[in-house]
Amino acid sequence: MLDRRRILNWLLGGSAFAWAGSVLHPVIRFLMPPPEQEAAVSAVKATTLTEMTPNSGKIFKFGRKPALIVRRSDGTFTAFMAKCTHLDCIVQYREDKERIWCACHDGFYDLNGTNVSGPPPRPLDALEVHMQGDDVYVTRKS
Amino acid sequence: MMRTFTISLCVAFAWSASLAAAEELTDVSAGEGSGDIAGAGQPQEIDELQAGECLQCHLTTEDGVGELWRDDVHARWGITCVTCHGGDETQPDKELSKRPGTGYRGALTALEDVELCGGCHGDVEYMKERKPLLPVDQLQKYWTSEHGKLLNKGETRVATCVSCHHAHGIREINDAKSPVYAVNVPATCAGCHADADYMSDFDIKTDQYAEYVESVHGKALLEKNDVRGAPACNDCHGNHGAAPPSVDAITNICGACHSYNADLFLGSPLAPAFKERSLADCVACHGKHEITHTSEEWVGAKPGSTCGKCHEQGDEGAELALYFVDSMSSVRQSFDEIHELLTEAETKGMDVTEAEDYVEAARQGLMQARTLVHSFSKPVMEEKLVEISENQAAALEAGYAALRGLEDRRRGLLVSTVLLLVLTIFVALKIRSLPPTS
Amino acid sequence: MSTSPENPDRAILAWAKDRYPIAKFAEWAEHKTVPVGPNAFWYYFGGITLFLFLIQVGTGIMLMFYYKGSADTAFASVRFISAKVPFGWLIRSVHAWSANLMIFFAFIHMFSVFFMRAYRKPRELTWLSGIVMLALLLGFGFSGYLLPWNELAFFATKVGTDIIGVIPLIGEPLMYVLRGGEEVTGSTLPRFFALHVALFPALLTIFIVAHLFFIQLQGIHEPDEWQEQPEKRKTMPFFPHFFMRELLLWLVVLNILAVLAVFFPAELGVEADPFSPAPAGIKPEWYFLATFEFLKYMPAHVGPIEGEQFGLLLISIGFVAWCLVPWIDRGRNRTVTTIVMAAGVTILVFLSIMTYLGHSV
Repeated sequence: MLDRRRILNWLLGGSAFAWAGSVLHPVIRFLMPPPEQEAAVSAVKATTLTEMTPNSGKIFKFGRKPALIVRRSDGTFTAFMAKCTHLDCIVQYREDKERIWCACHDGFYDLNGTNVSGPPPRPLDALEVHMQGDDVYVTRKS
Repeated sequence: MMRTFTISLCVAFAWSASLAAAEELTDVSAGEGSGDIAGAGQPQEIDELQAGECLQCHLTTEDGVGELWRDDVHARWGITCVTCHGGDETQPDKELSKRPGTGYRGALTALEDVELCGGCHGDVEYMKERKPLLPVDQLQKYWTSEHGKLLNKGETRVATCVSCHHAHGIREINDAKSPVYAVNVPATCAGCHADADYMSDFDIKTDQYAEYVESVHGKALLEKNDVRGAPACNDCHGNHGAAPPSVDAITNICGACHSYNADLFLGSPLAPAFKERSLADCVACHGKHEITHTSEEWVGAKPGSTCGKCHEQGDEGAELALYFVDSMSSVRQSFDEIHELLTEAETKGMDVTEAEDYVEAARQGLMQARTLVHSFSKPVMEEKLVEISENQAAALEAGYAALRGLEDRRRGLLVSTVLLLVLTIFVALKIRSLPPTS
Repeated sequence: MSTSPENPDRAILAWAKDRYPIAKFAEWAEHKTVPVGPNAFWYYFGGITLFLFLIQVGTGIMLMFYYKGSADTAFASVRFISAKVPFGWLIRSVHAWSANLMIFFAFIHMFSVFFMRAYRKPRELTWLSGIVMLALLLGFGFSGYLLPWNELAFFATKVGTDIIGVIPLIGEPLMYVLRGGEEVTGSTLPRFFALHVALFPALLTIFIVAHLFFIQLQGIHEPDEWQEQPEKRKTMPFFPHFFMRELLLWLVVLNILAVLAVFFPAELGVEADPFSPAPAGIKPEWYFLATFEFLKYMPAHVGPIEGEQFGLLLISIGFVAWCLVPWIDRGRNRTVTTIVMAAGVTILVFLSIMTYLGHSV
């Protein structure tokens, strides 16, 4: 009789333990920080000082959307969301003209993001650039 | 010759009709204060319109000329009725104001109109003082236009300044009420060019407006109001120098906006071939006023397709066209497949935003591939297609991963439920083994 | 100290007994009983509601590890939880489902107490504290709904706070404070977040403690007829009999949550855009549907007051009457009891119909 109760207690404890494991597993996995960069970006490391030479541009991902960082000829950086304000094509940096260019309808923006010629109806959405040592971080405009 | 004439005309008007204005002009440039009437520098308040006694009658006449004049940009700059029409504006009496000797000449003829407007607008010194940013070459360009050439030959049914800008009530071109504001231009041109009766003596079609309205450009301008982007008639034909462009100019004109396409085409093997056959580059395939969205049915060597106009099945160009069609349509099919997969995953509650990022990248790629058609080069296209298919593959993979994730969830739930069931049984047994209640 | 290496359990117990009145507690627990009978089934629902609250606390804290409560980041952070964090979808879905079930079971608990007339003397304060807790749960639901910052929640919050604004005198300022301005904007979100994770949990904990304390002091309400026929009285010990059964139910409820989370995960929708027009089909959560629907049926004006105000007035009168039920029905007059019970049935039917109408329209 006593043995049966003991066995039952053991089975009860064992199965409780196993089940608790199936509950704790997701909890522990949840609490471990995921390796991937957060989608809810406020800051993104866009490039480094050594990666980009003056008078060059680079497309990078700002959250889920493409963005463009430009290193001006004087070595300073400026960054924008890369979608053209005309019809959503991705813009690019033109070293020869030191302008941002949309190939779709020949729209040009200056390095302040202002639409200077062609169809674009308004300036590019600007981002903010922060330097941290050798790294160049980009954040949403505050 | 012409230039001297217009300048002297202008000067004549400035001295005779608007004497005070001309005097003010010299005064201002000499650095002295402005006087009581119409100076060069200051625009006039509308209520103080310098129209002399003319408006006493013309404000109430049926043609509404006086009323229109109130909104006219020129009215603010000290230009009055007599500047253009002559006469004596100090006389309130109809007969006296138009009596011989006052230079009264009533409504202007086509030639008078062109020369009168051009007189001031072509005068660099005069315009610099008033509207320094306005170009001064309108008259010069006009004489190069079809309109101007015909007028020179004595044809008076052509467009002159007032045909497009109106005679009274002229507004600035960026004023949305102006007949030459971008969205109003097609209708303004169509006023004559779509009128088959009016154009019957001229050897020219009248369906351009009807075609334009249905075109990508017409829709973008007239329906989407894309005034900065979409071309109106004047953006390809010129405004004051309006004329049909020559075949050689086509690529430059389309290339003004579609510069990348133009560059690709000019670098392609098709450019010299088109030149040899006097084909009008872009227009040869895309048409003129009726330009619509391109579709993949265009490309290909079948009869009726655009490429099929020159290429025969089996030749090198037809092979390339076939390659373009096949690869594009397989890209399209993949998009359908991806869409189906992602919709399924999404309706089952899975997050597919990451997959959609790849789809977006592939779509951008497809857009670029359609432009790259103009290179008429297989290797160039192949490179882009590889990029597209990589993005599509990644999207598919993400979609399948989402579905696998769904199965994982259910499997996990099953494991947990089975474990719970076992636990439940033992708890139930434990409850039964408890001593009975009182 | 009597420590024995063979029996560490006992060693700890002995250590505790040395310091705390364990024996007294054990004796109290041993004597705690729960009535047995045809109505005994309903005694479990309070416990289930409590269990769901504990789940809410647990999953809520976990979600706060990743949630970012500001208008720029809230939506993206919730999407991050659902898409990127391992089992994030599970925790979030369990939190959302558990919230709904908690309110559902709280309603069941309340009506079962009502129909068993367990609110009568001496349990008036237990009844009142329960009503306050239900109100807090609704507040939890309302404030939590906005936190993912999606379109539906945004506009539902707009409509919901509009209704608060209708209340005479205090309505407008209250709405202003809740919204953090004239309109629902990015400044509303941190306020709702603070209410949801700080103020409401603190208040609810206090009331739960009070509620349980009252029950421990007075024992569980027993059926009325037992007072007349004591021989029918039948109970079971709280420990372990009732406790094990309750535990079993908790396990089942937790598994139901898991099933719901897997097959009907919490949706995210589209990010809220304060400047976009309201989408069609804005509806509050189901527990507000009855009120929402009831207010819709109000005419534009009732006498000198606005229809909506009149509706809110009716609801307030009903609410106050509901709170005062222990004092209205003291069990001294059969007619009063019958009327109160009939009113209870009417309210239950009315709420069900209104909820159904609100849901299906």
